[in-house]
Amino acid sequence: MKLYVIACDKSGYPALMKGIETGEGTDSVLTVQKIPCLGLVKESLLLETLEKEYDGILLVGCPLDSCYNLDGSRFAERRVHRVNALLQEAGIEKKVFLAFVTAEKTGELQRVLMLARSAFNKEESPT
Amino acid sequence: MIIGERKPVKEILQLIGDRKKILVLGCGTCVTVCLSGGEKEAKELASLLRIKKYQASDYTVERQCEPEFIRPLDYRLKEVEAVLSLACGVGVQALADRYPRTPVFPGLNTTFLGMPVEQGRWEERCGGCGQCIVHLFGGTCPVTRCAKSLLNGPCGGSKDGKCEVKPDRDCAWQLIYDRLKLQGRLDALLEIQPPKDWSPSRHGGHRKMIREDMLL
Amino acid sequence: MNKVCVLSLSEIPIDLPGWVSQAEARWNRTIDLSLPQNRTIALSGPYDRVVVIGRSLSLNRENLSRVCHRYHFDPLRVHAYPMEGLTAMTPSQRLEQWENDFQTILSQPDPGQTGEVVSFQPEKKVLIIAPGEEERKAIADELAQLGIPSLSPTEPFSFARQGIQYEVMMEERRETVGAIAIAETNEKTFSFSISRETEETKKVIEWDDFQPRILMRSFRLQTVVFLVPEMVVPPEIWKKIFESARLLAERDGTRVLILCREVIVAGDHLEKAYRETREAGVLFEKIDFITLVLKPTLDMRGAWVDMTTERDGMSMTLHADWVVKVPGFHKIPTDFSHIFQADRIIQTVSRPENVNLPPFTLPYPGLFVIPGSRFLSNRSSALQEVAEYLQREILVEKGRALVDEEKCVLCLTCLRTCPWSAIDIEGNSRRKKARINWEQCHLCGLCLSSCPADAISLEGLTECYEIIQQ
Repeated sequence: MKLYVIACDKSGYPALMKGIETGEGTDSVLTVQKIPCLGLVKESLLLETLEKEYDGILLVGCPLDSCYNLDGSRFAERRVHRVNALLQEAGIEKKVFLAFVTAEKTGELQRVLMLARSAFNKEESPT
Repeated sequence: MIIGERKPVKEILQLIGDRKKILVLGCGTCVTVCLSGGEKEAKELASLLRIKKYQASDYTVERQCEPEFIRPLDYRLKEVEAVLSLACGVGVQALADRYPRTPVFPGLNTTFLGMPVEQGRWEERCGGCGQCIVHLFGGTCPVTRCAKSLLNGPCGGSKDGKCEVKPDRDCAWQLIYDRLKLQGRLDALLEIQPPKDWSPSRHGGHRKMIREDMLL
Repeated sequence: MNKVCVLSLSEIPIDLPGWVSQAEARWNRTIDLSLPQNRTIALSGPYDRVVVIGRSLSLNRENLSRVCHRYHFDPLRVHAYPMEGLTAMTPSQRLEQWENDFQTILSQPDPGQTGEVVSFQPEKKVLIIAPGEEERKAIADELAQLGIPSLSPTEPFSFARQGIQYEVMMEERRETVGAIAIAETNEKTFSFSISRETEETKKVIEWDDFQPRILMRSFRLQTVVFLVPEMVVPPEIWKKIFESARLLAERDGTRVLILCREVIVAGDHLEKAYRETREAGVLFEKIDFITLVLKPTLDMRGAWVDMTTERDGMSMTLHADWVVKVPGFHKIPTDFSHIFQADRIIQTVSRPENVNLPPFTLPYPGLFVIPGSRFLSNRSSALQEVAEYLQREILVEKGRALVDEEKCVLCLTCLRTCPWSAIDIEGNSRRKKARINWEQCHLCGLCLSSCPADAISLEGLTECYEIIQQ
């Protein structure tokens, strides 16, 4: 499974770095992009990234109601829903995942990574 | 402005069929502003098609409904097997007229003439009936905003200011009554409106407008 | 410009001084090094690239802006390098990784324009908007003690934003203020409705009426039930509830039951008071107030209380001699529609539930909600926050968010979505376009992502790292 990770520099990026430092669950090939806020991610960026060899994208950012930029995570959530719907409609087996974390709580990140892994493993196995 | 809605991806894929080289063409005017067919949406759709292994490219012109703006597309269209136009029905036809050899597919369903009532929500305001009578109803058009297009309303179904056909929408006749009351012109409602002349509308066939002084 | 600066914010696991000389030869650049231990060395720019190394937590935009401001770096040429990616490797791998990344940074395209960080201090004056003259004066006095002049507007007035300051327009004069303090108004509420028959027993009593009775008469061996159906009950009132309940239980041996949705123990000595109250024999029960039924007893000298506890879902009935209604407070958001002539029309201003923002701020920098007079302990800390805001210098990165005039179709999406309302429309009637006010812009990029015409860009903010490779 190859994941492209986009993280916001308020919560997502520090959390991700902490996860890497403690060596928890980040064993896939990851390219990490740091952005100021998840609200900056537009659908076309997600889709253009999926054109490359990545299986999926993981967005890591502030929890919904404590996004530094108030609406950022909310926007991101809606866009992820929209892109996933588009991908599903078009019958493409790639997916965008979303993890809301803070620098203190990285458990959510592990959970979403696990989810992603199981989603892709299911698709890979023929039965 | 003209409001359009993107067709479902499945339908778009069906339209394209097994053609591989596609140009997704956005329009930079009405459908950009109603967030359904501008540069951003064209990029998205082209991206999606590329993931589906089509050779899709995207481009956006200022207005697809004017020949001057689509003329520079000539060389782009030579290289593609089909064009997916994200403009309203007018743009699609302008394009098809200009490039009769290339199949042009509509990527949008052109829905209505309307305005954004708030960010992300658009409502119909005009039906293009060809004879405006808005002034008789305090500035609210009953032809488009009343589900039954009643000129002598309201019907019996107005409930709490909402329409009985579409309960999430305001009853046009409630709005008309409120507005006229505010203006102190409630007596205008006592006048019975005669049946509307629909001949300037779609019922009279294909419409056209000419300004002779402006003809070249 | 062939100079590169490497600035590390903390100790990093690479021997940088040893690396510099060979790196200078390899890439043919002059490399200036600034480490925590030799910070006194003067950095002489301008630099082609600046690499800031540190823990990712310290590499947020605010910190980077501060660094840029202090050393006069061009923010568009600064690259943040998190050191966490290096720690898990062997020393030779580290150096290799670092050199690879350094190479990537050097090969990044040159930003066409130049950026700048400017520091900005708001005008040291506060506009007070309060419902009553008394309240306004109290806030003004407290601000005066902190050494901040304040301004009370004469009605009618309106205000508009100018950068991060506010211009107050009154009939005869105009004033510029740096912050606006809005006193919050509260309304007493008690949302649980009690039937008339029960009220007629005269044993259902308001909290304010009940307090004096505690001292006047004995409640020996009686049962008192406190009803606290509101979520927002100020800590001051909880403190009084604890005190009275404990007094009743210890002095008269009264059976006291406190029914509530939530006990608030966040406050000075509140937790201790709560524990002591429980130890004195007072029962606290969290219940759902929908299940609570009050009925008068046959002799009309008390009430039957029917309830289901949230803890174990058991329903029980008990006889209460007294039922005390404790009200909560409901905040009334300030109505701004008639005084705020801002770029984004706000009808009401309510606090966002956002842990990243200080508790007294509104989404608009410089606007503060001051808790009403019932929450005195909070008021001074809120005003302290205002004072700090006026002291703090605000660092702004100029030249990052840009609107492409050619592409802007004036759809107003950005103006409606900007959370900091930093966007307005400028130009004459012939050609209008969106403009980003850099004083207010937080570089979040929400406008960029919502713009249907791709007309907005953020310069130099894409940073990409290959972190782990198997």
